[in-house]
Amino acid sequence: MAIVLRPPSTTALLEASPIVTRPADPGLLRRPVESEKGLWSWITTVDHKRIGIMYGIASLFFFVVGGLEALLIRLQLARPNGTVISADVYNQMFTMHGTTMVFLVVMPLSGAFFNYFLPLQLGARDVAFPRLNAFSWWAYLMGGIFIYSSMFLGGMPNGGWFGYAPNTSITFSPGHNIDFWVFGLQILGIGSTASAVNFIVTVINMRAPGMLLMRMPVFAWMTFVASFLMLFAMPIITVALVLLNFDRTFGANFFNPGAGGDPVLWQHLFWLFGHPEVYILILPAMGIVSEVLPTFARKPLFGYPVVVFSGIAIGFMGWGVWAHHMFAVGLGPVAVSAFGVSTMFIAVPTGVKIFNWTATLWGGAIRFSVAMMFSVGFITTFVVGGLSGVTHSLVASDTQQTDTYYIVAHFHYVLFGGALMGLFAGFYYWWPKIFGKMLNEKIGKVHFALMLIGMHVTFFPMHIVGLAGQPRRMYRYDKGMGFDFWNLVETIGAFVIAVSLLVFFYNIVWTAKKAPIAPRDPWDARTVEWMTDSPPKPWNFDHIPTVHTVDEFWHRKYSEAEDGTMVRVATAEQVLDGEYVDPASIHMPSPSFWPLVACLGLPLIGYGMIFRAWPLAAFGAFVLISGLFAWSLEPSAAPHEDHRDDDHHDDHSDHDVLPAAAMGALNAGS
Amino acid sequence: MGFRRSSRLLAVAGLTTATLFLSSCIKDAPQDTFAPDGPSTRRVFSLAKPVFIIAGIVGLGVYAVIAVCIVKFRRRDDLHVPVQVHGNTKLELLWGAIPAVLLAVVGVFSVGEIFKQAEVPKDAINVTVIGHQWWWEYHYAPVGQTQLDPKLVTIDDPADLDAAELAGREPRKLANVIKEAGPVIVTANELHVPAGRSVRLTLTSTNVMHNWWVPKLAGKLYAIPGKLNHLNLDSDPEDAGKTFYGQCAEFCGTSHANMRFKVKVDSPADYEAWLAAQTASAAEPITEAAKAGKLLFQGTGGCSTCHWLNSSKTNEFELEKDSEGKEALVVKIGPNLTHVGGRAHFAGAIAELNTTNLKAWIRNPQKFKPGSKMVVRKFSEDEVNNLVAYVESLK
Repeated sequence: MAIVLRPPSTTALLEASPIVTRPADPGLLRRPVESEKGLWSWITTVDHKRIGIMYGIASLFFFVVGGLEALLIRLQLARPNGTVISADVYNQMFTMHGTTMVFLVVMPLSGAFFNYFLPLQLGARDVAFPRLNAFSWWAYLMGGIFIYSSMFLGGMPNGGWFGYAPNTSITFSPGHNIDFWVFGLQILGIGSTASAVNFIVTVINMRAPGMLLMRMPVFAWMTFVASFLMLFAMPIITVALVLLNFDRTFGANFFNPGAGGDPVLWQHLFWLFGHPEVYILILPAMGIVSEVLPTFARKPLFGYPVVVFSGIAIGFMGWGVWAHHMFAVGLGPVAVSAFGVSTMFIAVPTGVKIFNWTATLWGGAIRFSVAMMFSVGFITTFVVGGLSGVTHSLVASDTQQTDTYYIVAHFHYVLFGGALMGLFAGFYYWWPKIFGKMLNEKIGKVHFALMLIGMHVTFFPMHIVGLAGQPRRMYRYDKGMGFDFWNLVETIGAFVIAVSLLVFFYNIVWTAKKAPIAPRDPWDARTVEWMTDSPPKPWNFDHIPTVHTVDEFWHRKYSEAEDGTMVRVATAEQVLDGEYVDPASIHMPSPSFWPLVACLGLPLIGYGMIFRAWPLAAFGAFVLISGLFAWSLEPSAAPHEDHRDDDHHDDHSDHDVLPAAAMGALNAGS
Repeated sequence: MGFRRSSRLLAVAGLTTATLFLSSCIKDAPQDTFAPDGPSTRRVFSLAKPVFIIAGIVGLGVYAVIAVCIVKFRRRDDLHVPVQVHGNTKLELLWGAIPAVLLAVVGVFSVGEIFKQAEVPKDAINVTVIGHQWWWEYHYAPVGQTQLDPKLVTIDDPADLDAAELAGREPRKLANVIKEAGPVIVTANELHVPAGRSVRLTLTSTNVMHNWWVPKLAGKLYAIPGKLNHLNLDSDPEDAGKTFYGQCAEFCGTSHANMRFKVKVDSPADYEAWLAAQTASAAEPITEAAKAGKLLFQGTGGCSTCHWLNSSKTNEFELEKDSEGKEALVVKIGPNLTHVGGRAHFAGAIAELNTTNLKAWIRNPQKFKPGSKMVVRKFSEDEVNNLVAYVESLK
């Protein structure tokens, strides 16, 4: 809470309230000074925008890695009895493809957008806990590097991203592959949980004046819901992983049926995490699409409260459907009936969202920018994924489909055609906000067309072969099973997707080199994040806007005429140009390197545990704990800074009168 | 541009419909779930078919509306601002309620089928199915014996084992041993069932989880260590003589893809004959090569360490004295080979059982089936020939 908890320096306030003046420098350690440039400024940054950009870069990198794994899988399966990779390497590939895409790509890519746009959409200067935010980011990076370091240390995880017991036990997976997965996911889980807390507090506490919850942009709402899902889901997988770790490292028997343990318990724990996780992956993309559609249709989101409440409903119902991943496990007719029915009814809020998005388009003045194309692409592919999801809720029929390529088709329609298309819509929509330049629309259209076609060519045939009986997670299939033709088609489609990504990267390079500076309001946007410079200054807004309505920016530009039509009353420039504000008067959190130092301890603990090098693990714990201590002991601001702050308290003025002791406590927690 | 864009989307919609239609058209897919061949799988398919069709219609409806939006509601004038519709409560209630009602109706039928599948069929043949890495083991009651009624029992001390009653195998995991009432016939990879008669499978595993699936005759069900699962399988009388494909559907380690099996549906008379033949002891070798192979099998070849050749009608555990003089369980992790020569497939049913394949297998099992637990020493060509001759003679 470094932003809002500065002691007021004006004498008027000092006289008005009985506050103890803060000591000149309460911390024991020096804090790095803010500097504008250089690698060091990125390493020590606590700026949510820079952290968002780093999340984006890292997750695009892992997207390439996970994509290469997918291409290897598709090459192996292009023909019957493929010999491109061995059975064991194949098992590592599909395990890491799933783990990478879920934990290292879609989640952090959503996180990139959360980071960059949540404070901007709320009209805040940063997230609630900027240093904790940096900690989350470094934990994610360390976790990703840690898991992939297994490649050089005996082999990558090979038990599937679901890691079913007892196949992952020491008896059946004696190598270190699974251990890397166990500790890597725990490191990632620490980062995700911290992020969830951060975003939730940000939404609750940091909204601009007038921004009621029901005036928040839908993306902020979906971030809020997804953060709650993360907050409650990550501890479940952590518990499961700790139990598995005890089984593997200390000879415990939680999942060992031979000693009274229960391997089905793992499945319950995993999917009780895993299903909400699916919504953690899709809700942010739904939020992005809910921003893009109204902007480019020039119409408000159809039924804003219904879209928000169905998002919340999905958030709640998402906890009551996990056993639909386990219909073939033999849970008994009562349990599967209950979960079958609950799975059917989660389709209702999902369907409502789709209908409301479609109704948003209806009667609009649609401009097909690339962002809009990706959003419509999102709806059209997500519909297919949603409907195939309904067919899974038919339990008796699902026992035919589960563990086949029909399921692979379903979740790629939801997570690739859904989540990733939504995130790409976000890239095209918000690129000018982040970098001040617009991605090239022509190249973008090529990217979109190739990706949409590649997506359908790759994943639609999976419905067909799945229903024709091709099971998942097979490094080969025989001739004469009827799978040959469509598998070849799928492989071709996968390479079309790969090409589309190359086009996207080319677009990034082209834009960086050649694109002109973007106008300040390139899309005629509707929400608060566009009411500032592109890219925004470190403090986001010179003047925190006061919010009166859902589409605040839009309503400042347009007004209703007497005949009911909307007329333009102001240009974006007129809305945006405000009085000059002295940057020194706005107070921003100082950089810190302790979040990184603390995170460096995490992989050391992991390596120490895996290789039974207990001193290394102890040293890692020491690094982590001393990093956290130093974090809490460092001063709340860098030295030699101007502490005059007279403008940024308008939304949280109550904090100004906090006694010094409370301030100290809260600062330590930031 | 407008036309091109909308035509692209319409093309996608067309492709979707066409391929959905085509999905039932993969010819000769032996595991096709859309070509069921048993009473229960047909029933499930008839339940699923209308849901697939309704889903297709809803999907195409959404596509159609979006296509109309794309064509009709493009921004033609940059100054045009449409009427700002914020929502329509009645409409939104309607499109929330219609799917809910539709799904509730489907739910009634779905739950009905769930409970129907859970019924215990009358007069069924009981077969125990045990998943191994990576092959399936089947237990039958011998001709004239009472049906198997497998149970899991907990045994703390191997010395307490009542060998005659046990058919589970891994001595390190004695907490959950399968106990079957009476003697059993043990076979592998190929499940034989009589046409037109219900079969009640009891599935379990002695290692990791597996998932038994024969798409045309039954849905799939997990085989879980420490748990007994029940799956009903039925066939039509006309299915006699047919062979159905199946395979493990849950990832179970390196050679998961090589864990296949076949279900042979016999006429009732053929089934009785097959079962009677399975009850017989292992055939004595006749040719010189086979005789030499038997010596190798039981002696220096080391085959009998892991494979069973039961000479009695039962398939009991053998007990041996361990170093402390206590009786301990003998581990047999490989399939029972008493009648292996009569099977059409081996090695997790990935290969036809013939001389060439058997030789290749014995020379290097791991090359044949990655990760195979079969350990062999280096055999000479003569030894390979003799072993294969013996194995093939075990009809």
